[in-house]
Amino acid sequence: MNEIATIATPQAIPPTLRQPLARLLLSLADDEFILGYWDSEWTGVAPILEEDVACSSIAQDEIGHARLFYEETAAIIGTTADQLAYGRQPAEYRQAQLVERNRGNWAFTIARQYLYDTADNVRLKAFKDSAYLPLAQDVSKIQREEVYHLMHTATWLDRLANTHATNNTPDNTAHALLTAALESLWPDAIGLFEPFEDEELLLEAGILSRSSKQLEQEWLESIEATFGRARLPFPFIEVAPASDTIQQAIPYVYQPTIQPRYGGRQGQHVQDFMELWEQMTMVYRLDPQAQW
Amino acid sequence: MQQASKGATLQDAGDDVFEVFQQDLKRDNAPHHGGNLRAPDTELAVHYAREFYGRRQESDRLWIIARTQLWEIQDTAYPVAHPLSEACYQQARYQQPQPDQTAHEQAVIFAVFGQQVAGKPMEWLYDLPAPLNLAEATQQLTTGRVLSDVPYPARLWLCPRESIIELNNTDLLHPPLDRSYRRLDGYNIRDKLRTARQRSSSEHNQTTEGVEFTTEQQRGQSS
Repeated sequence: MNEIATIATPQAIPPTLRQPLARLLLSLADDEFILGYWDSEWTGVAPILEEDVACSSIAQDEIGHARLFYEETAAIIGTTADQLAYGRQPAEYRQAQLVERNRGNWAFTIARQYLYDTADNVRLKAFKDSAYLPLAQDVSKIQREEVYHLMHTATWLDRLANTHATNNTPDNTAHALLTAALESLWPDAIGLFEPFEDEELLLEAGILSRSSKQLEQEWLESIEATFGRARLPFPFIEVAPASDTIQQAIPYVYQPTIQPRYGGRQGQHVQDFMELWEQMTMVYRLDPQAQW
Repeated sequence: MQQASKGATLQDAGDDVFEVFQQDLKRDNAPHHGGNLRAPDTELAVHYAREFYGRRQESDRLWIIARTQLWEIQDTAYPVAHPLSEACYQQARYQQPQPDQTAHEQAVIFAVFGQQVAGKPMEWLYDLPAPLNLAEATQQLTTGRVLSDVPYPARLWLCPRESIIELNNTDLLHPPLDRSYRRLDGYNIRDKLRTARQRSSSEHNQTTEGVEFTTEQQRGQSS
């Protein structure tokens, strides 16, 4: 690690890394931005007023984080955060498909948020070691807020999974809804760790300290126990690592028993996102030159 | 931690209401009443309390107390304590809930809250020095007045000390957040307002000229 030179400013990025790094930052920004948009839809209609406020506050945080990453990207490719957030065609967005789906019911929202927050937690930790110093610094700014999001979501997941069955007639509706939501979400969730474009270049330069595959494994290890305890679907089997991998030291790897859905990082998106895009960019597209 | 839920729903006795006390160590001598919130259990109550009373780093310490654990002495001239939920529901003219009898009998250390200054919120005054049941505590705080050196405001709240959930985790209440990234650099609201005023006044002038023009034209037509 010590031989890797750090990059302190956007100007210092070698030309070959410019595009891959910009795309990486866009992926992070778009994930937060789109998820924040769906979270903000709970304003006014969350299960209880208190949750309404909590959800809106989390949405505000996510969109704030997106703005930070958009600004980092804008500094590299010479544009503005607004132009990146609202001025791109759908195929130019780089978020994972997990965050694109409609907010769904409350169990769906919590299930998705839990998958996302736990994955984001692993990802952000890894970025703290990034050779691109602006990224490492940004991550340390937002990580504390993400810790709180995760606590909030974990509490709700526990609650819906009935770990806290309260009265004598346990109601399984919440557990059933949560299970159904997770079953539909798992293929997309694995897509969160779809490799970034030109990931080898980013790894070589130390901008990524670990590969997406490694992060995916770390993430699954961090949540397996929770899913087991709450009797929730965890569609993976543990297999011996392939002999040609470098990671001989680890005893097993998680291998999905379902077909993961990839594509978000290459600009392939689902219909829900097309509709969201129409709506969220509507005002911007009326007059992209407007001064606000 | 006590079990918050006895099958509480939003329709019934208000078992899901929590009273929140907050303290900013630089300004406040004691935790004072901030308000209340509804939560399905104590864990979420703590989350929401942080969200409502600590998000802007305004509190160093929060006390979260289930309303079912609070009793109110409305007038310290009389040794009568009502469950706070009952007092609230009487005011709201809802059906009276069944008061929780358990803490009446048990001898516990009671925390005492009162209004020190009219118009200010209830604040924590002191804990009673010895374990007492509710009737004894009420007696002592009203007609008994055995403690000579403590204040007895007219209206008091009391709750078992052990039912107070304290949140003083610096990581949650005062995280070392650098929120400068949220500032809108280059966006000066005064400049924006000035530009908008100039634009609207120049539009206004144009409109006035337009009206005059029309009038002259009409005059020309009519003559």
